[in-house]
Amino acid sequence: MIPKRKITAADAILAVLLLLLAGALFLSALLRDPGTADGFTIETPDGVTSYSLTNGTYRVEGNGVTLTVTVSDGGVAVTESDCPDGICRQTGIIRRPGEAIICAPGRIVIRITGGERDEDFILG
Amino acid sequence: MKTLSSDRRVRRLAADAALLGLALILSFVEAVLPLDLLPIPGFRLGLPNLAITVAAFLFGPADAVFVSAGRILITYLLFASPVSLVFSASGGALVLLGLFVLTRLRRHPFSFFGVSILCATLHNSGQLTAASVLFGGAAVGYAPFLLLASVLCGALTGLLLNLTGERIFRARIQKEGAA
Repeated sequence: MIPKRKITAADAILAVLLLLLAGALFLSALLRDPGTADGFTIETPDGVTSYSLTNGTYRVEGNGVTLTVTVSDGGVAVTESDCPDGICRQTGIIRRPGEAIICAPGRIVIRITGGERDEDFILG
Repeated sequence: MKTLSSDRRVRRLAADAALLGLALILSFVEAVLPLDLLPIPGFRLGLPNLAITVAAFLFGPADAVFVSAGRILITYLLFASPVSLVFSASGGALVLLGLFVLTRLRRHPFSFFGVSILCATLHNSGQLTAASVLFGGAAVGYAPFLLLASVLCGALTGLLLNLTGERIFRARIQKEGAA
Protein backbone atom coordinates (compact mmCIF):
# COMPACT_ATOMS: atom_id res chain seq x y z
CA MET A 1 0.00 0.00 0.00
CA ILE A 2 1.25 3.49 -0.87
CA PRO A 3 1.67 5.74 2.18
CA LYS A 4 -0.64 8.73 2.55
CA ARG A 5 0.30 12.01 0.89
CA LYS A 6 -0.80 14.35 3.67
CA ILE A 7 0.89 14.54 7.06
CA THR A 8 -0.92 12.30 9.53
CA ALA A 9 -1.14 12.32 13.32
CA ALA A 10 1.17 9.30 13.39
CA ASP A 11 3.77 11.28 11.39
CA ALA A 12 3.68 14.11 13.92
CA ILE A 13 3.85 11.75 16.90
CA LEU A 14 6.82 9.92 15.37
CA ALA A 15 8.70 13.17 14.70
CA VAL A 16 8.01 14.55 18.18
CA LEU A 17 9.02 11.29 19.89
CA LEU A 18 12.30 11.12 17.98
CA LEU A 19 13.03 14.79 18.74
CA LEU A 20 12.33 14.19 22.44
CA LEU A 21 14.65 11.16 22.37
CA ALA A 22 17.38 13.25 20.74
CA GLY A 23 16.86 15.97 23.35
CA ALA A 24 16.99 13.45 26.20
CA LEU A 25 20.19 11.87 24.86
CA PHE A 26 21.74 15.30 24.41
CA LEU A 27 20.77 16.46 27.91
CA SER A 28 22.02 13.27 29.55
CA ALA A 29 25.35 13.65 27.77
CA LEU A 30 25.51 17.31 28.79
CA LEU A 31 24.50 16.80 32.42
CA ARG A 32 26.82 13.87 33.03
CA ASP A 33 29.84 15.53 34.61
CA PRO A 34 32.71 14.43 32.43
CA GLY A 35 35.39 15.50 34.94
CA THR A 36 38.53 17.31 33.91
CA ALA A 37 40.48 16.46 30.82
CA ASP A 38 44.06 15.42 31.53
CA GLY A 39 45.31 14.63 28.05
CA PHE A 40 44.38 12.86 24.86
CA THR A 41 45.22 9.69 23.02
CA ILE A 42 45.71 9.08 19.34
CA GLU A 43 44.82 5.60 18.22
CA THR A 44 46.12 4.51 14.82
CA PRO A 45 46.40 1.08 13.21
CA ASP A 46 49.94 1.05 14.67
CA GLY A 47 48.86 1.51 18.28
CA VAL A 48 47.81 4.06 20.88
CA THR A 49 49.92 7.03 21.99
CA SER A 50 49.09 9.41 24.84
CA TYR A 51 49.73 13.14 24.74
CA SER A 52 49.31 16.03 27.15
CA LEU A 53 47.10 19.00 26.32
CA THR A 54 49.95 21.47 25.84
CA ASN A 55 49.71 23.63 22.74
CA GLY A 56 51.31 22.19 19.65
CA THR A 57 50.72 20.36 16.40
CA TYR A 58 51.23 16.70 15.57
CA ARG A 59 51.29 14.78 12.32
CA VAL A 60 49.53 11.46 12.45
CA GLU A 61 49.47 8.78 9.81
CA GLY A 62 47.18 5.82 9.49
CA ASN A 63 46.18 3.66 6.58
CA GLY A 64 47.72 6.09 4.08
CA VAL A 65 45.91 9.16 5.47
CA THR A 66 47.89 11.98 7.10
CA LEU A 67 46.24 14.28 9.63
CA THR A 68 47.52 17.40 11.33
CA VAL A 69 46.27 17.52 14.91
CA THR A 70 46.40 20.89 16.65
CA VAL A 71 46.14 21.42 20.40
CA SER A 72 45.31 24.89 21.64
CA ASP A 73 43.78 26.12 24.89
CA GLY A 74 43.00 22.61 26.10
CA GLY A 75 41.08 21.69 22.93
CA VAL A 76 42.12 19.25 20.25
CA ALA A 77 41.13 19.53 16.58
CA VAL A 78 42.15 18.05 13.27
CA THR A 79 43.18 21.07 11.23
CA GLU A 80 44.38 19.36 8.08
CA SER A 81 43.77 16.04 6.43
CA ASP A 82 44.51 14.69 2.99
CA CYS A 83 41.39 12.57 2.75
CA PRO A 84 38.44 13.73 0.65
CA ASP A 85 35.79 13.05 3.32
CA GLY A 86 37.11 15.64 5.78
CA ILE A 87 34.73 14.40 8.46
CA CYS A 88 37.47 14.67 11.09
CA ARG A 89 37.94 18.38 10.31
CA GLN A 90 34.19 18.84 10.38
CA THR A 91 34.03 17.46 13.93
CA GLY A 92 35.76 20.62 15.19
CA ILE A 93 37.36 21.07 18.59
CA ILE A 94 36.96 18.47 21.33
CA ARG A 95 37.77 19.21 24.96
CA ARG A 96 35.63 17.07 27.29
CA PRO A 97 36.80 13.63 28.48
CA GLY A 98 35.31 10.91 26.30
CA GLU A 99 34.85 13.19 23.29
CA ALA A 100 36.49 11.86 20.16
CA ILE A 101 37.37 12.70 16.59
CA ILE A 102 37.16 9.76 14.26
CA CYS A 103 38.94 9.53 10.92
CA ALA A 104 37.24 6.56 9.33
CA PRO A 105 39.47 6.15 6.22
CA GLY A 106 42.67 6.34 8.29
CA ARG A 107 41.26 4.23 11.14
CA ILE A 108 42.41 6.97 13.54
CA VAL A 109 40.59 7.86 16.76
CA ILE A 110 41.60 10.92 18.77
CA ARG A 111 40.08 10.85 22.22
CA ILE A 112 40.21 13.15 25.24
CA THR A 113 41.14 11.29 28.42
CA GLY A 114 40.61 12.08 32.08
CA GLY A 115 37.69 12.44 34.45
CA GLU A 116 36.00 9.43 35.96
CA ARG A 117 34.53 7.65 33.00
CA ASP A 118 31.73 5.30 33.69
CA GLU A 119 32.91 2.11 32.08
CA ASP A 120 29.30 1.14 31.41
CA PHE A 121 29.21 3.73 28.68
CA ILE A 122 31.96 2.15 26.66
CA LEU A 123 30.49 -0.16 24.09
CA GLY A 124 32.24 -2.45 21.69
CA MET B 1 5.26 -15.32 -8.70
CA LYS B 2 3.32 -14.07 -11.65
CA THR B 3 5.23 -13.34 -14.83
CA LEU B 4 5.06 -9.84 -16.17
CA SER B 5 4.49 -9.27 -19.83
CA SER B 6 7.79 -8.41 -21.51
CA ASP B 7 6.56 -4.88 -22.15
CA ARG B 8 6.04 -4.25 -18.44
CA ARG B 9 9.34 -5.86 -17.58
CA VAL B 10 11.19 -3.57 -19.95
CA ARG B 11 9.37 -0.57 -18.54
CA ARG B 12 10.22 -1.61 -15.02
CA LEU B 13 13.88 -2.13 -15.91
CA ALA B 14 14.01 1.27 -17.60
CA ALA B 15 12.32 2.96 -14.64
CA ASP B 16 14.70 1.28 -12.17
CA ALA B 17 17.69 2.36 -14.24
CA ALA B 18 16.35 5.92 -14.35
CA LEU B 19 15.86 5.85 -10.57
CA LEU B 20 19.43 4.59 -10.12
CA GLY B 21 20.64 7.47 -12.28
CA LEU B 22 18.58 9.86 -10.15
CA ALA B 23 20.01 8.37 -6.94
CA LEU B 24 23.54 8.89 -8.28
CA ILE B 25 22.87 12.50 -9.23
CA LEU B 26 21.37 13.12 -5.80
CA SER B 27 24.45 11.54 -4.15
CA PHE B 28 26.59 13.88 -6.19
CA VAL B 29 24.49 16.93 -5.29
CA GLU B 30 24.81 15.93 -1.65
CA ALA B 31 28.57 15.53 -1.92
CA VAL B 32 28.92 18.97 -3.52
CA LEU B 33 26.69 20.90 -1.08
CA PRO B 34 28.94 22.66 1.47
CA LEU B 35 27.29 20.98 4.44
CA ASP B 36 30.62 20.27 6.11
CA LEU B 37 30.28 23.70 7.66
CA LEU B 38 27.92 22.12 10.17
CA PRO B 39 29.59 20.54 13.19
CA ILE B 40 27.90 17.19 12.65
CA PRO B 41 30.40 14.69 11.28
CA GLY B 42 29.26 12.93 8.15
CA PHE B 43 26.05 14.94 7.93
CA ARG B 44 24.12 14.33 4.71
CA LEU B 45 20.64 15.24 3.57
CA GLY B 46 19.81 11.71 2.49
CA LEU B 47 18.49 12.82 -0.90
CA PRO B 48 19.17 9.45 -2.59
CA ASN B 49 16.55 7.99 -0.25
CA LEU B 50 13.99 9.76 -2.46
CA ALA B 51 14.83 7.49 -5.39
CA ILE B 52 15.05 4.38 -3.21
CA THR B 53 11.69 5.05 -1.54
CA VAL B 54 10.05 5.65 -4.92
CA ALA B 55 11.50 2.38 -6.27
CA ALA B 56 10.22 0.50 -3.22
CA PHE B 57 6.66 1.78 -3.44
CA LEU B 58 6.40 1.90 -7.21
CA PHE B 59 7.61 -1.64 -7.88
CA GLY B 60 8.72 -3.38 -4.69
CA PRO B 61 11.57 -3.96 -2.26
CA ALA B 62 13.68 -5.86 -4.83
CA ASP B 63 13.80 -2.76 -7.02
CA ALA B 64 14.80 -0.67 -4.01
CA VAL B 65 17.64 -3.13 -3.34
CA PHE B 66 18.79 -2.72 -6.95
CA VAL B 67 18.75 1.10 -6.77
CA SER B 68 20.36 1.25 -3.33
CA ALA B 69 23.09 -1.33 -3.98
CA GLY B 70 23.81 0.15 -7.40
CA ARG B 71 24.09 3.63 -5.97
CA ILE B 72 26.37 2.55 -3.12
CA LEU B 73 28.69 0.59 -5.42
CA ILE B 74 28.92 3.28 -8.08
CA THR B 75 29.44 6.16 -5.60
CA TYR B 76 32.13 4.04 -3.97
CA LEU B 77 33.89 3.56 -7.31
CA LEU B 78 33.55 7.26 -8.14
CA PHE B 79 34.29 9.12 -4.92
CA ALA B 80 34.53 7.19 -1.72
CA SER B 81 36.85 5.16 0.46
CA PRO B 82 36.35 1.51 1.51
CA VAL B 83 35.37 2.59 5.02
CA SER B 84 32.63 4.87 3.74
CA LEU B 85 31.44 1.91 1.66
CA VAL B 86 30.97 -0.01 4.92
CA PHE B 87 29.04 2.92 6.39
CA SER B 88 26.78 3.40 3.37
CA ALA B 89 26.14 -0.30 3.07
CA SER B 90 25.18 -0.75 6.72
CA GLY B 91 22.92 2.31 6.63
CA GLY B 92 21.45 1.27 3.28
CA ALA B 93 20.77 -2.28 4.44
CA LEU B 94 18.75 -1.12 7.46
CA VAL B 95 16.73 1.25 5.26
CA LEU B 96 15.92 -1.60 2.87
CA LEU B 97 14.77 -3.77 5.78
CA GLY B 98 12.53 -0.91 6.92
CA LEU B 99 11.13 -0.40 3.42
CA PHE B 100 10.54 -4.13 3.08
CA VAL B 101 8.20 -3.93 6.08
CA LEU B 102 6.67 -0.57 5.09
CA THR B 103 5.78 -1.68 1.56
CA ARG B 104 3.94 -4.67 2.99
CA LEU B 105 1.66 -2.70 5.31
CA ARG B 106 -2.00 -3.03 4.40
CA ARG B 107 -2.85 0.28 5.98
CA HIS B 108 -0.41 3.12 6.52
CA PRO B 109 -0.58 5.22 9.66
CA PHE B 110 2.14 7.36 8.07
CA SER B 111 2.41 9.58 5.06
CA PHE B 112 5.74 9.78 3.21
CA PHE B 113 6.74 12.30 5.89
CA GLY B 114 6.81 9.59 8.58
CA VAL B 115 8.18 6.99 6.19
CA SER B 116 11.13 9.22 5.28
CA ILE B 117 11.87 10.11 8.90
CA LEU B 118 11.89 6.39 9.73
CA CYS B 119 14.22 5.68 6.80
CA ALA B 120 16.59 8.50 7.76
CA THR B 121 16.68 7.27 11.36
CA LEU B 122 17.34 3.70 10.20
CA HIS B 123 20.11 4.89 7.88
CA ASN B 124 21.85 6.79 10.65
CA SER B 125 21.36 3.92 13.12
CA GLY B 126 23.03 1.54 10.68
CA GLN B 127 25.94 3.91 10.24
CA LEU B 128 26.28 4.44 13.97
CA THR B 129 26.28 0.68 14.52
CA ALA B 130 29.04 0.28 11.93
CA ALA B 131 31.00 3.11 13.59
CA SER B 132 30.60 1.51 17.02
CA VAL B 133 31.88 -1.81 15.69
CA LEU B 134 34.86 -0.15 13.99
CA PHE B 135 35.76 2.44 16.61
CA GLY B 136 34.12 1.45 19.88
CA GLY B 137 32.01 3.78 22.01
CA ALA B 138 33.62 6.96 20.69
CA ALA B 139 30.98 7.18 17.96
CA VAL B 140 27.99 6.93 20.30
CA GLY B 141 28.46 10.57 21.34
CA TYR B 142 27.13 11.58 17.93
CA ALA B 143 23.81 9.81 18.46
CA PRO B 144 21.71 12.82 19.57
CA PHE B 145 22.94 14.94 16.66
CA LEU B 146 22.35 12.18 14.16
CA LEU B 147 18.85 11.64 15.51
CA LEU B 148 18.06 15.34 15.22
CA ALA B 149 19.50 15.36 11.69
CA SER B 150 17.39 12.28 10.81
CA VAL B 151 14.17 14.01 11.79
CA LEU B 152 15.01 17.24 9.96
CA CYS B 153 16.32 15.61 6.77
CA GLY B 154 13.65 12.91 6.77
CA ALA B 155 11.02 15.64 7.11
CA LEU B 156 12.48 17.47 4.12
CA THR B 157 12.57 14.45 1.80
CA GLY B 158 9.22 13.27 3.16
CA LEU B 159 7.55 16.59 2.35
CA LEU B 160 8.98 16.41 -1.17
CA LEU B 161 7.49 12.93 -1.61
CA ASN B 162 4.17 14.02 -0.10
CA LEU B 163 4.01 16.83 -2.66
CA THR B 164 4.97 14.67 -5.64
CA GLY B 165 3.58 11.28 -4.52
CA GLU B 166 0.13 11.80 -6.02
CA ARG B 167 1.66 12.08 -9.49
CA ILE B 168 4.45 9.52 -9.15
CA PHE B 169 2.19 6.78 -7.82
CA ARG B 170 -1.00 7.75 -9.72
CA ALA B 171 -1.39 4.36 -11.42
CA ARG B 172 -0.90 2.40 -8.20
CA ILE B 173 -3.11 4.70 -6.16
CA GLN B 174 -5.94 4.23 -8.68
CA LYS B 175 -5.48 0.46 -8.61
CA GLU B 176 -5.52 0.38 -4.81
CA GLY B 177 -8.50 2.70 -4.74
CA ALA B 178 -10.41 0.34 -7.05
CA ALA B 179 -9.45 -2.79 -5.13
